[in-house]
Amino acid sequence: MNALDIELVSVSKSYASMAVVRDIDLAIPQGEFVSILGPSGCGKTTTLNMIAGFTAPSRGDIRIKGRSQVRVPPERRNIGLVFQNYALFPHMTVTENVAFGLKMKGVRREEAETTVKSALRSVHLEGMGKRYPRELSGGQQQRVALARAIAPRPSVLLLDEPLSNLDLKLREAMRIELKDIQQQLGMTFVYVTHDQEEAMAMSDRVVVMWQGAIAQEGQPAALYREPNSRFVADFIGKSNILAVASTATQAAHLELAVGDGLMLKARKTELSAAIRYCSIRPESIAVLPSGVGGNGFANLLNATVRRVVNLGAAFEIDADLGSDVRLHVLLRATRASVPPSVGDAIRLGIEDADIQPLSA
Amino acid sequence: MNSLALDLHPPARRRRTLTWFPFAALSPSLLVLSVFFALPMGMMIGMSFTQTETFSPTLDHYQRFFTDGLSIAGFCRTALMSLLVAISVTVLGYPVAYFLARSTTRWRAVVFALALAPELAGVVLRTYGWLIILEDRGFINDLLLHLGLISSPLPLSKNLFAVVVGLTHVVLPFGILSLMTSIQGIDPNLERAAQMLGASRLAVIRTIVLPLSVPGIVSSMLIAFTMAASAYATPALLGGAGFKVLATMIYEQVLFYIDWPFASVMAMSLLLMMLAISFVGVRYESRRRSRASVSSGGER
Repeated sequence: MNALDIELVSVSKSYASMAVVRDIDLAIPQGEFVSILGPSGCGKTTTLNMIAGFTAPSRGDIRIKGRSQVRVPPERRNIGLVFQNYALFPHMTVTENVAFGLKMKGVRREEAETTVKSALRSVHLEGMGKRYPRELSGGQQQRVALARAIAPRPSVLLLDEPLSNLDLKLREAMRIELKDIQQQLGMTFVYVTHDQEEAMAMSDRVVVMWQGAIAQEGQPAALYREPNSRFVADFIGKSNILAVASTATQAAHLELAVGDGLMLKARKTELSAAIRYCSIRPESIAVLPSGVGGNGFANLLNATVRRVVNLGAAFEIDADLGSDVRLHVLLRATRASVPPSVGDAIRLGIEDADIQPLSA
Repeated sequence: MNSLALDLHPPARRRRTLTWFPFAALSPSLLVLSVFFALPMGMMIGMSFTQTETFSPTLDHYQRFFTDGLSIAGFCRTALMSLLVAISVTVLGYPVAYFLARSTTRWRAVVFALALAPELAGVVLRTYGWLIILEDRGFINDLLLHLGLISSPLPLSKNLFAVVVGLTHVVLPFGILSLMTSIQGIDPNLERAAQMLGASRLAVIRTIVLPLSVPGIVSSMLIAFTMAASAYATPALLGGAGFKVLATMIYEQVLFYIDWPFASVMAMSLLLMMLAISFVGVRYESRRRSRASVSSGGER
């Protein structure tokens, strides 16, 4: 078990009577890449500002390496922060920007020079030291911001939507690079984002926030497979969310009544609260030709194709199951797969494990 | 050939439209300025080069300005006083401007009103206020004499000190406004970034805010200098006979000695002083800016 780098103990923040963050408990072990993920206004930025020290929590405690930080000003927390707009010092060269933290710490000049060089090397910006920030592209500025933040070797690095100003290609490349850098340094990263793909791609653990509270936390794959609420199922990836009218426990299955009299067989769960929805991922639904095969599936459903959208790598099929139920199905585009046409009768196969019952 | 000419024509015409229109917008104020400013100015320049009796051109008035000793001394006094006002306004105004630029509390509105309030009272009124405080029989000297800390009044009025104090008060709001605008233009995230990198509040000001607000400092000094150099009421009341500056000396020449040509020469010297200072300041700023734009030549 790693030592804990950051602990939030029932941290709350309210402005006037508005609760922005409610009772957050979070423990981040040393060396973990944690994403705080949520839509705008969910309290993730406030949480980040409380960890950084720019905002004081109304209640609760924030600990870094076991020490309470509530009364410690930002400059003495030994935390790095990468801003969304990079916040590079425009009047300083790249080298001066990266050396700033070391200078403030009173690191000796020769030592600082070596550290700056290795920081620039780790973000692939060797030889750019004499340039000014405005002479760099957005992606390069982003790297300088990262180098500046890691140069003083903070115990924790906070990243506030650092990739959101970059174009898609660069963003995808930077995801991989960020993860590599984090692993090389073994530094704890707390990454705040509203982009679920980003969070899924990089994180060891994702904390989903909604309306100021933690909706769910866990490994990306687990969150995707087993969301615990309609919100998480919908926010992470795409999902078919169906309202469940009633449930019945059978010998082997849990039967969920959806729509106007359609029964779906799901696995039995230990959910104590009443099941009100279920979530089915579009790519977990198999498209079978009408009439043959598919005996392995717990659920076999007849459907009519209403719409087919070609997404390149896949076809998105809008399937009408009758009884007021429609499902989005993702059919992977392979050389062999022939997408159905609008109006075709098809059958859909869904495994019981792929139907995730939700209580909220 | 024809199509090429057609292609080239519209952008060229558009550019021409763009160049004359802004000038057209200037014309009303140009008209007013030329009648009420350029014309008297021309007359003043002419007068400074004209013999009083014969109306023939001469440099006599200028020669007198440079040789009578009093005029050059007045010129130097004016420059020194204006420089001191520029410095004190900028130094005193900077913390207030920083507060106004960064505060989000309700105190901001209060401080803003207090900072600008002096402009609501007239210059003469404020200057009399300072006289009451600084005079030989004024508040400060009375208090110190009463407490037995001094035996004779301190020389607080009718000198450089009094004029600098009074003018700083008059000019301060303008300095604060120009500094505030400049500080507001600095991304607050830069200060936070510096803080996260271990910089104390003071180090943040020294390494980030001050260097980035140089344009504001320059313009605050320029405004303060020119306002101080051209001020009449405050030096007249607080400086009096003991501390004469060009503005009060010009007034004397016109009203008591009725020597308009010599007054014109003095006015010319004041004008040139302010033009020179403005030129230095603007030049400094534009060189700084062109350095910045040279380095922004790269891809963005």
